[in-house]
Amino acid sequence: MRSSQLENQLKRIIRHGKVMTSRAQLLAYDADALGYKSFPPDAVVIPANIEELIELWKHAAEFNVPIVMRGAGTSLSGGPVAAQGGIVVHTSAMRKVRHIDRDAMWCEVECSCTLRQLDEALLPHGLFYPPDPSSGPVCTIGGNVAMNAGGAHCFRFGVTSNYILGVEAVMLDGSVHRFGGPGGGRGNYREDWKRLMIGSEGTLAAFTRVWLRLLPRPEKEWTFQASFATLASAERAIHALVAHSSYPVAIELMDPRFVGLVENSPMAAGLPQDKFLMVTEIDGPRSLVDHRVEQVKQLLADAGAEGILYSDDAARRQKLWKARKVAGGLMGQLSPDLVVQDAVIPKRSLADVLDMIYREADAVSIPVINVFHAGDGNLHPNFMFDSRNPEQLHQVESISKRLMRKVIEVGGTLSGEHGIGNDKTAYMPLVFGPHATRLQLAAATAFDPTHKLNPLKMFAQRQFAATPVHSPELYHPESPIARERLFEPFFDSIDGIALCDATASWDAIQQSASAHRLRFPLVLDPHASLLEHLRSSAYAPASSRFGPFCDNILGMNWRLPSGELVRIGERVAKTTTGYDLMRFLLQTRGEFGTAEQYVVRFRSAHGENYLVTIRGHVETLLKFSHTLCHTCWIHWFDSVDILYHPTDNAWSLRLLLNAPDNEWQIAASYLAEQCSALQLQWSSVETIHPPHDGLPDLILKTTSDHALQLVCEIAQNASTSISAACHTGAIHLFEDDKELLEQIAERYRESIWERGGELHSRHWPVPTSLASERHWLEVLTRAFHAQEAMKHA
Amino acid sequence: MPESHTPSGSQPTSPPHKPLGELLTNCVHCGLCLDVCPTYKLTGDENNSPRGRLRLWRKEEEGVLEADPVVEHYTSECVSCLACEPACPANVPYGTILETVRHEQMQAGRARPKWFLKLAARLVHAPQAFQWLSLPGRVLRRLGLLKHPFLFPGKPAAWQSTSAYARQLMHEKKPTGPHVALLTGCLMEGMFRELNFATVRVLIANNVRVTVPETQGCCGAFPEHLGLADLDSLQGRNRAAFGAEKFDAVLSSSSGCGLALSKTLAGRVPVIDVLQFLSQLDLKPRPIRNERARLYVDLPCHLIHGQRVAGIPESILNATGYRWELAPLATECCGSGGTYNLQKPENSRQILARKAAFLETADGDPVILGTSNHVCMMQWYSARTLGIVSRPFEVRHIIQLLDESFTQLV
Repeated sequence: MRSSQLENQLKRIIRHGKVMTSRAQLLAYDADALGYKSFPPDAVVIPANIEELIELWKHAAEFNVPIVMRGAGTSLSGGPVAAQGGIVVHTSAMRKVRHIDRDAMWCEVECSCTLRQLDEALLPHGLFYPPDPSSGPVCTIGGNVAMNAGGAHCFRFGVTSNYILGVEAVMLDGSVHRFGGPGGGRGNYREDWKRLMIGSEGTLAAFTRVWLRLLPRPEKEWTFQASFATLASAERAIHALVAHSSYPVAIELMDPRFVGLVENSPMAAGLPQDKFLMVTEIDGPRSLVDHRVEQVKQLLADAGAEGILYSDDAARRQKLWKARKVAGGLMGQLSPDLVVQDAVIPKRSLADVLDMIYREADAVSIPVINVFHAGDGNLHPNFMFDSRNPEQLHQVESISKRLMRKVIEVGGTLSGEHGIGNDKTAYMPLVFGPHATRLQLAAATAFDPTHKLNPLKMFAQRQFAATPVHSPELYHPESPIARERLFEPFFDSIDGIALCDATASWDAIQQSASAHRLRFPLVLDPHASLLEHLRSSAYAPASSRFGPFCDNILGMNWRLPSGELVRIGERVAKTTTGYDLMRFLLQTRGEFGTAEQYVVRFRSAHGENYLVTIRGHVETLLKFSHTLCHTCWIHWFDSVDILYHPTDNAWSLRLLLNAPDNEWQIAASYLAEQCSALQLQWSSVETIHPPHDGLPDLILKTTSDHALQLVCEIAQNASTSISAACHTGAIHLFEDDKELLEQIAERYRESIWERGGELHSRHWPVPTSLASERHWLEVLTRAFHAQEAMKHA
Repeated sequence: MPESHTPSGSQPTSPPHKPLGELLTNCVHCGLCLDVCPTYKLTGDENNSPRGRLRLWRKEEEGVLEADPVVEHYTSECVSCLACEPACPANVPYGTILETVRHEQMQAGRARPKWFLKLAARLVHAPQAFQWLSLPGRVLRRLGLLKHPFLFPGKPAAWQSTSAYARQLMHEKKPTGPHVALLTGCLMEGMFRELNFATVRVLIANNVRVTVPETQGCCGAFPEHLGLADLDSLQGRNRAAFGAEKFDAVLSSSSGCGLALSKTLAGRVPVIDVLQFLSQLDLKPRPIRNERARLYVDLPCHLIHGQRVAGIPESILNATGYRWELAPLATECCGSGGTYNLQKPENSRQILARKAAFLETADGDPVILGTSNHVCMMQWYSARTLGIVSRPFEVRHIIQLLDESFTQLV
């Protein structure tokens, strides 16, 4: 009865798409790739297009059941399943690549565009979208955004959140919001809401369109394969690779058990058995990457590798990767069910944690295989069992529980790229203490007060209730182990991660890093603190290579307005544990509290900083930078900035390369060739500190092509010092005349917002919020200011 | 003499002798099969994907779900292109499972193929009668008087069988090379005999000794597609027919028939697609015979997914004398699926429409669509006759193009 009512209701809205309510039809939607957990929905809807999806959401209030968004359903954590029944909305019909902007290197895609489909569309443009989860052939962009997906190549390139410029989100009231856009900022919203959307596992909104940042495809790749008799020797190789200038795109380790499995399958790749097997890959411009091949080989050999093979042959490389990427499915040959854990740990604890996994699993005869992203410390123990056997199920669950406890103990986190889903909610109190849980849940209730969207995911407390939960402060984690955690001072030289005072100057931070051959490349003013940096801009010149500050700061001890300290984020480079309050708060301006300490991610220092300045006519310089930004050389220059000097009305192009001398020679010869083609002359080459222009007075962030157009216009009309990042599209203006800054902002505001960019000055007060974001802000503010509730907790 | 017919290195799934329930648990629900499945791409409905169907079959097998017409529906929706098999990391023998389920559904009266298909499936058990009954069709087709959207034009010999033709040509040319047997196929021999003749000519022109055993029968693919029983007698007949003499290989110029026969003759004699076999014979590229013509090559599913052959070898395509390129979406299903285009015409048409869209603007005069399976040829031809593609194009079997190439030299 209820089912037919629901069906009729849905069919009134979904006229072109499909509505399914028969029991059999619902069973195919009862699980994701965590196949053994079954949650049949009450109905499945396949909207014919985005308009129909929005129409459905406009009527969401009429349905007193949960709503669950689903892409390809390939997640491994029990994400897109109806854990509390309700309607599964399958987005399979919305899969267009809507626009590719080759010049500015971004694209707009619909939520169910698959990664393979996207890659095929980008190939002719010489561009690619780096995140590459193993389910890449089928998984959808919407799902990737929801789970903040990663993949093997994320060691260098980063995860989904590093590539999302904007998200179109449909809220439960049917309102449609574009958070960001090709410009990659926050648009005219006060806050950067897309940061909360990414990794929200379908609990905040439905995503219909996504804007992605793209990179030029690597010119050449070499894949290496090496065997290691012991884990210790493999670890030596991992550490050496992480520190090497080739900066491998991926460092994957497979244990001997996995190698045996591959070799006995149709995916056999002729791998040596009974050893740890490493697959690592370097890429880059042909001259640079070819130069590094022997060094990488030697580095592996020095660490104790045996049987080193390496190849630039596409077929061989593909075969090697295929075997690695189909790991999950291969296990199906051995057992009916599978649980893949996804913890991320500091690499120094690798042996310790792996030892525990083998010991625990072997003790109860649960086969386990480890195949994982070693560069990131992102473990993937695969436990094989038969869920029809309650004892085995119990054993796997208790091993997982002990493993998670251990992971948190050593400073890791629950999930690096698979998400929490309903598989890991039980472990969330290990990570989030009472205050942190309250803040996390506030993020959810701000958008969805009844937890109608994908309930019982991420947090067990997110249970669908008929009446709205307006007071997140009422939540108390039930687990007695829950306690507030803070980052204690540490310096992890292996992972290149450390806790730094928010008020420490860049110089001081850099000094602590350089003793370990590490560096923090993002700098605006060496004497300014990180806090001051963040208040003036989200970008520094080196963001061209390493992303904005939020990609280089992993966690914070956060002082709430009430005075309490709370831990936000992690101390590992990869996390999908909870809502991304880290990125969201990092660019807020004091309304929610302030950072006391930052967990900073350093990068390896490879020699000198080579600073090249090229002077010339602005059009020629722009042509040069355009060429450079559209080759994979852009992956290797820390920064490529166009500078305007008002005093002599001159333009220059400034490039920074951090490299050993022999690699600088290769880059120099490339630059010389390009300069000669454009009849440009190098003005200077210096080996110094990274460039620092000072804290900007105004920052405009938009698409790269728009930014360069604006730079020229601004320089024509105002005598202001300008530095514009050619690749990121961030313009920094240095100007004492506040009125002039206002005028410039006023002139370009609309065109920047239109692109989903942003503009901001450290001298301005906190901007007024939009009416549409006021409610979300209120809920968050209440949670962040809830002193009484905290005392109670 | 070619030794392997699986250059891609991955072996097709041999029918495992495991109970259905056990085979079904091999699926770990990873979903890597979704986007290679033509019906999933068409409908966006996960029930209509390999993962969805396996889930439904498993729920029925485990008794979680009682026999449900929905399951029958989604089972019947499958084109059986087998694209999901190579995509599956867990090596789930989807084709075998599908056959078993279809057979079970047929036995239980849950699946009802159209009457004429059931009749045809009976007739394949009597090859002589099948050939006699199709005689009028052959004659009319030869005269150009038989019109049907699927019947591509051709001039089959009305009376002379392929077997007799091979004997005649062997006698005339006296080749001395490897000795092969040719599977003629029911429909191929009944209606499209010119393809078999072309195959014989090309092989003999390349010094291959060809025998066409007269006692051979249906490979079993047709009744298998429908889930019908009594494959044993068909298999027994072919084991005897192809086992009577020592052959270096048994060749087939239709990938679906070849795949079915390879299961029958497993461990006895290799069954090889004729184009793969020819590629081992060092065929030389031919000069381009028409600069303006363009050959677009489509790859039959049962060749690349079923037999797990990498494709139609380049040396073979270079020997056609045409400028060629792979058709866009060449590795995706055309929607023919044995009898699928008769059972699910609307689905089949939509699947074809997506794949054939490129023909409207494809370069070439004439534009030739080349493939290596007569059922795919019928399907492609229907793109023209049903108005899916408005510009004229030819549909040819690659062996016909080779035949033209070699006949000029023989």
